[in-house]
Amino acid sequence: MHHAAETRAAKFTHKRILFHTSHLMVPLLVINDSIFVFDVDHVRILRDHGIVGVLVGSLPKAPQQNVFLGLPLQLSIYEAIWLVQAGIATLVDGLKFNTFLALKNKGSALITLPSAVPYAITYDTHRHGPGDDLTPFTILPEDMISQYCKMETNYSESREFWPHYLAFKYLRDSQYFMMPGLRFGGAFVAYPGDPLKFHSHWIVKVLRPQEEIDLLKLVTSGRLATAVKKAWLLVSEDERFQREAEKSITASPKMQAFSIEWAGFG
Amino acid sequence: MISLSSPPFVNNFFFMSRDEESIDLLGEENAEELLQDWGSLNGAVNATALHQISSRRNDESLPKRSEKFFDKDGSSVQELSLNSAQEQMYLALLHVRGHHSKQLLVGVWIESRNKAFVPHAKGSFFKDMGVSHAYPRKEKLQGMWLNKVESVYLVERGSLVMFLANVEFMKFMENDAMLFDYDCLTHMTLAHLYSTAFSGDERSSDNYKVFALLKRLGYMVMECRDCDAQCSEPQFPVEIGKKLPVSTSALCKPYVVSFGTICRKLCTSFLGHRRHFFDFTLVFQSIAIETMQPSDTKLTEPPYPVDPSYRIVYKAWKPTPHFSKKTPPPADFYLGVLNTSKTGIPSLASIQISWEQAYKMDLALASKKNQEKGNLNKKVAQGLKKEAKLKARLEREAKLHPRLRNRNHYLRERDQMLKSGSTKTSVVYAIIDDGIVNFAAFNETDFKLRSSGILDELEMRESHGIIWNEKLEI
Repeated sequence: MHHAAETRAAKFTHKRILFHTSHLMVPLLVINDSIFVFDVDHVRILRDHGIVGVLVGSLPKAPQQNVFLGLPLQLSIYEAIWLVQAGIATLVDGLKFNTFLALKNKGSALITLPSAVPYAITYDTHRHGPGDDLTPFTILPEDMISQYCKMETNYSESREFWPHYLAFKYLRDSQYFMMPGLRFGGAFVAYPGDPLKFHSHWIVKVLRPQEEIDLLKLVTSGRLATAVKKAWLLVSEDERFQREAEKSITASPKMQAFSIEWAGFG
Repeated sequence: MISLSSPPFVNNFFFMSRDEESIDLLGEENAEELLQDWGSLNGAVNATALHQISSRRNDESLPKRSEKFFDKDGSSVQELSLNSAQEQMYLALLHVRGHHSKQLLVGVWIESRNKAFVPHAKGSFFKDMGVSHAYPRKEKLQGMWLNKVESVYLVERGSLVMFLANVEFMKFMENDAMLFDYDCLTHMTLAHLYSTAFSGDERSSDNYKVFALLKRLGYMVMECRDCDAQCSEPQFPVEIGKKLPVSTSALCKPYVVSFGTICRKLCTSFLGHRRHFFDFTLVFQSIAIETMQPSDTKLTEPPYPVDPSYRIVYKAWKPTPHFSKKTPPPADFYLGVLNTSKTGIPSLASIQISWEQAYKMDLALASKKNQEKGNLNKKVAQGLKKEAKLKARLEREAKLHPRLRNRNHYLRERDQMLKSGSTKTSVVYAIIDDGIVNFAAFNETDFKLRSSGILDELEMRESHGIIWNEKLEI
């Protein structure tokens, strides 16, 4: 076991694109408890800031396969809140926002392509203009978090928002690209660069401060991670520096991380 | 103005030209290896030039996976490679979402019913989708109601354009007019449809992901309404968050473990002054877990209603050109949908109940009429490729010794039965985590295989199971 290096940011300079105030805020559409992005340009902006999400729609270009998927892009609550606290995006009520855009943009479904072929199309989304006030549709991050925490589950060990968000923020701020960890049995999978071109390094397990971990779980997860050429990363808020102060989405408490690999001697 | 004078023909080759047997719902490939290179997907088609609409051949040919890096090295080669990959992805995402107006398919979203109505429905899409609508005063037209999941799927793949209903359209549904000017309706974007269809129903978005994933692979998917009565939420007696009262008898009912013979053997060993009190081979030989055959026993009702989180949501059938939604054959899979942030691991009781429900549905469907139809369809559906494969396999087997050939056939059949039981009923849970979907299959396993005519024909035995059950000579 060794301490995960905290010097990643120093090792490799990450091309950060500063989000100028002149740019429009990216609207993140909240539909029930899911968060979506429907605009390719917005997907590009998010990716430039290290947020990749998961493409979940059918790709019209190749609609009979599941390897390449299309819009919308689905974001986890952790990605969405990170974007809001970074001043890149804003959460909006999907239904209200789209009803407003539909009234504003009455477009035809039939277009004539340059080759004079009449085509019936569906637009991904309508754009909101610089003069549009998003305030009536905005959802405050605090409301989103409390809704997530109150979400009814049929079991007691539902994901706790704050430990996971702090772990996500810690790794994203360390220039790691994060994706959901379902396929590898973790909370997240952390990549050193864009998942399009990089293999992941860590399968992330989030712990609450002072939470004990089952040794069998440690062995199985460590072995699984090593089998898929990764390491298992335990991330937690450092209890020595833990404050009782109220949680904030912009807070950056001291975190600790340990990586576990299946070690073979002999 | 968009107007339809005659029902359009949707010329979409809907079923993938793949061998039924080669379709694997639960591939165990490394997830990362599936992220292929977007570059060659765009191929000859420039996604930004809308006039270049790709052919189906181009659409379906997938590129090989490009090389991935393990770490950043700060080189320009890496940066160029990444920039190129990203641009190709954005290019593919910009591709037009639509279809030729000759095959125009229009849907109208009716908010009061939370469904879409297709005024002129025709084409292979409706083989397993939609509920037909008889117009009161339009004999020549065929309408179709689509639920929200089906509507979003067809719009998302570019095969349907959706409008929002107004008063004029509601009048058109009742009167005898054959044409309607859709320009007076609000044209819905994909984002608008998503938010309209999925708002207020927290499960529908997850259900849609599973539905679309299977449809993209060519599976026939239909909503499972058979178990809705048992799974309705108001009936659920336990507060959410509390554990379910699982009765031990309910769990153990299907298994009968006989220990009488063990005691007898142990006594014999002890009285016979054996060196070891436990003769493990003797004990193992005597343990027999006998699974109750569903055909022999009446399946009992569950001791409590099923937790709605684990209910069966969809029935799925492997791709076949011969499918009738009115009289569907027994499903190949029954699917439940679980979200990791809302749902825990199902208890053994929940799995058992879901499986029993699926089995009951199979029994109800497997009438003689359906079986005869199924056999006929299978014969008709056999293509040249399938025949060639079968011929090659038979030629290979002909070279083997008859006893060896028989043994291979026996082991193959037995293995299949041990993996999916004699009933072949399979319950699959789709597990969703922020847009990523994984599948876990739950099959019946019969360790004894007492009543198996197929295996008896190949090799006569008292039991074909893997648990020791030979007669013991003492």
